[in-house]
Amino acid sequence: MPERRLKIKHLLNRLSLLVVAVTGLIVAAILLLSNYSAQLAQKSEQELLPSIHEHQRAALNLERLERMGDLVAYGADLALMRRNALAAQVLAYQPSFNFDPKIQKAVRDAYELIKALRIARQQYLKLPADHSDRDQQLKLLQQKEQVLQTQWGEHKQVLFELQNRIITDATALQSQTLQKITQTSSRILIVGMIGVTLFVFVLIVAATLLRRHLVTPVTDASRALLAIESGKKYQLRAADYDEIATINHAVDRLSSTMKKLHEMATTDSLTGCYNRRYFMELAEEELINAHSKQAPLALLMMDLDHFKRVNDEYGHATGDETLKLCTQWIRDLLPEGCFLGRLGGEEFAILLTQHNSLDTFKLAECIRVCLSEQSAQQTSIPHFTVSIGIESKCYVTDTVDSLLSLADKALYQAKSSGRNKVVVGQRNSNTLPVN
Amino acid sequence: MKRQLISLFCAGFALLGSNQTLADNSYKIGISDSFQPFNYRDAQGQLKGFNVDVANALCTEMKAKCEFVVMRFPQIIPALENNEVQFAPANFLITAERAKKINFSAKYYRSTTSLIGSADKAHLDPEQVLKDMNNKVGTQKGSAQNRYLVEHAHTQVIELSSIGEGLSKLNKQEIDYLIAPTLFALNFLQRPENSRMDFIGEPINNPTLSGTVHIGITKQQPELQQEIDSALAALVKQGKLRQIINQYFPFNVY
Repeated sequence: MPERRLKIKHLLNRLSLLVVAVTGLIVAAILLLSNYSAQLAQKSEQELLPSIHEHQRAALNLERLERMGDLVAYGADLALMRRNALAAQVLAYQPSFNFDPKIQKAVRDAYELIKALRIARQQYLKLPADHSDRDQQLKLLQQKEQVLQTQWGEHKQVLFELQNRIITDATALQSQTLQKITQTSSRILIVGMIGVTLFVFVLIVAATLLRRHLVTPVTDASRALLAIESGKKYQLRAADYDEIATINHAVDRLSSTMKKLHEMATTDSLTGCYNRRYFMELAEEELINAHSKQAPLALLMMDLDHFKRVNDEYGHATGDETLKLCTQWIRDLLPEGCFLGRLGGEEFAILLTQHNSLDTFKLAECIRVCLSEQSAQQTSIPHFTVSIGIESKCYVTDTVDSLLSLADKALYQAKSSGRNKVVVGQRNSNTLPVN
Repeated sequence: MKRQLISLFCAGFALLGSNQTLADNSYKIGISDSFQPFNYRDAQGQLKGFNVDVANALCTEMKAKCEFVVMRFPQIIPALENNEVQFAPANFLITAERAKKINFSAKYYRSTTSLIGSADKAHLDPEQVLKDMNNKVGTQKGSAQNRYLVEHAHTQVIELSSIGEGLSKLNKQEIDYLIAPTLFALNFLQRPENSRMDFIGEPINNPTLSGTVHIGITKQQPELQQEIDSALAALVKQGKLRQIINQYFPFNVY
């Protein structure tokens, strides 16, 4: 049952969604903050600015109140005193001071003082010339006036300090607003920076995911194709996404097809050993190798004796079975680095490396004896023997064809001298002991 | 495409511009003429005063042609209701009853209400005065003060069609006290010929009698309120309102 995998499209959709979500989040945060800053600006326009103006007006009005008080306290004109006392009275109860109860109280106290001053000074200035005890009265009134004037002087100091406080408050309001605006703009900056960082992070995550699920699998697949081309091994990781799984599957299929084609091109379908062409090819390579390393190399030609008779008497099926078993037994005897090829019909060739003449002869003998013995024990096929011709590499001019041809001659000799024999080629025969 | 858009914008602006010039930008202003220093006639019979100057400044700011329609105070609200006049700088305190009939601008100054009378009674508490059934108290008919007296005072209430009439009655001692906006009373008391008179105690402590003062606006032109508020805000910002205030009052009444 095929595994259910997601499509690459899903990955892309997810990544796009992530990028969109993060972008949306950042934009929302920035919008929120800018909205807040707009609100701040509006608040300062609609609330703080009027409040600052209110403070400024109050400070100026306090100054006016002081001037009115001065005119009442020190003025010489009764009408002027009256006018200013009235104005001070109205100003003292004007709603403009309502924003601060302390100021309200100080202004009303100031007005009470102004009223007292007005009454005292009116009495003083209006004292009738014929008043009995005038001097005494004047002195008393003057003392009272002086006490009140001193009080007024002190209260003016209070008003002055209030005025300063109002101005300070207004300034504080102003700087508070400025501070808030600065704070907001720095917040916007911080959020923006966090946003950019987050965005970069998301991009990195997206790139990593794309690399892991898309780029790396494709690179691996292309490497695997190169490996298949040069007949090497490869390994593919399990795919997470549908398309990559399809590619990997195709690569695997291609690889197994290539293997099958290679097998079909190089082996003999009946016995499974190398066919003539591939045997020749490998033998050429081994010969070149042996030449360059000056290593020994021998070629054996082998033929099943009277094989035509097996086919004729027992049928082709038994013939084929005989060939198969024969191949199998020889293979079991061959050491590593040596190989067997079926050159045609009942004719085989064996290439031996790392064997000197004596070892080659011994192995050939072993093969001849073994095949005879094993075929005698095998009930499904008739007993058979083989003849073997050996030719070893002697000169650098030796080729596979020349060696085979010489080995073939030795084989002919083995056959013509009675079969079931191993014959060493004439060039090598003197190196062997006579048995 | 761009060119089309630009021409469209131009057309839009042209329309806006023409709309502005086509709009009915002439207003009639309801005003009374016996309320010094707010609105009164000078020796030559010319309308003068704080409200007149504020109205003119507003009209200049709104680029409107304005015409004063002089009437008695009690007629002003009905005239606004009927759109006979479009706005009236008539020292309105906001009351729920008035708000049903007319719109109000933002504040243009702040005031309180005081009782005035003979100077020898200046030490009295106005609240006590208003509880005495023997006292005759004059008030501008249709004013917030009138309403307050009717609702709270036990005195005899003399309703007057103009505040000027009240002042002369007070001088002739036909009434004992007059209840009036403090700034108006201040102007009256400060005149040397009225030195026999004085404020009776402190301003009356009641939220319906003090606070912000507004221009009355007809409800039949709802957009006018916004227009007047913008113009008023501009006057405040440019310091023009302060200039006008300085001409008429001894301190900043805004």
